[in-house]
Amino acid sequence: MTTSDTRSPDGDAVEVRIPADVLYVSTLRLTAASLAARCDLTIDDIEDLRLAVDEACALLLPHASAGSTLDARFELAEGRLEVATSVHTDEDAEPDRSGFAWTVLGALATTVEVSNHDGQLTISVTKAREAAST
Amino acid sequence: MTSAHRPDRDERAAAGDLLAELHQLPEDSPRRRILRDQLVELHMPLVVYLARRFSGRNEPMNDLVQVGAIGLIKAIDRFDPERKLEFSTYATPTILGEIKRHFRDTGWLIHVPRRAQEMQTTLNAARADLSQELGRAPTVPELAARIEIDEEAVLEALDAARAYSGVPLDVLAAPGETVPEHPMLGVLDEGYEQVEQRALLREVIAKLPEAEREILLLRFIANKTQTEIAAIVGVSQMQVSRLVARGLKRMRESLGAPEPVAEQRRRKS
Repeated sequence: MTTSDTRSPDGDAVEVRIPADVLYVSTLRLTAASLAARCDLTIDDIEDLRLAVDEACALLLPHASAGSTLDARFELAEGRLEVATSVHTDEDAEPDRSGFAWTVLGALATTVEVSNHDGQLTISVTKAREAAST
Repeated sequence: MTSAHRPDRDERAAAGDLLAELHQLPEDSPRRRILRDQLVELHMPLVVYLARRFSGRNEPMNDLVQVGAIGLIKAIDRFDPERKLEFSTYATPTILGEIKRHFRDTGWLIHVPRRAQEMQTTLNAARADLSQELGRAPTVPELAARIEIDEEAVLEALDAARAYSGVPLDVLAAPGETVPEHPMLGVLDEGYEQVEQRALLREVIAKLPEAEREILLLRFIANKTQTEIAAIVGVSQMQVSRLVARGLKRMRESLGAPEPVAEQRRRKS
């Protein structure tokens, strides 16, 4: 450790690449939770984010080419974590927006963005610390 | 990871109609109940889907579905059909909120120290038992299978354990200064003392009030969760929690034993 624990995480980024297989999704969930803690998100936010990462992977994995990887890029900021998960797909694939996974993702994340550039299907999820609510 | 399908367009339209009608009815209309039942039935798959997200955390699926259903009912009652929001999007956070509150109330929400501590005790016991049985340290899947939680929770608990103990400073202490707590360092065999204590314990347990004895046995011998015990005995989980605390306190007092923290540490070494 060369820096103090209290340093702001602004601008830090972490990348994780896993086999596009449901077996490794827990690695991403744990990474997300650990980084979210670093961003000072609340326990409830972290719980939401873990589920959101799960749902994003559930939406991406059916489209992943055989033997490919699922890439995750975490961008850290004070009170905010962005997770961009992406897989390589054969064609202009789109996530299934008719299932529960999509509904739940939308309800849990602060923002959700979907893009497909040249067969790289990406779901970006942001979780920002929520203001005190009822 | 299954992506179950939410109600199709017809069903969603039906849900919209039901919600619109429900919110126009007067508070005391008997038809409210019928509509609400239909709406609950229509959206139970969403509750089950969400509850399944939390399974594997030592909490019965049925309990989770039930508390989720409470969230669903709240969402149905509070939903404002005027707002152009889809009901399932509105209901999801409410249902999840109820499930999370359940974990919080039963002390099992992830990252809450109380849960981690409780887990620590279970984990340490399982770790010791398995090491004995296998002749080597157990793997994470082996630990998970033994204490019936998922691997992720085991990893978290291990992480929490590191946060709790940190570097064992006793290792650095001069000989004879303090009792070493590091597992790699030798300690006086506690076997002899334990035999005496066990005999003493038997007496103390026998003297406990019936209800406290039964609950302590279920908790620590049968290794049931407080929620499970509540279901078996037929009292609330809060009541179980109180009885466990009271029983332990009584035992500690009869034994003239030290603080619980010291007890836990000793068990670890």
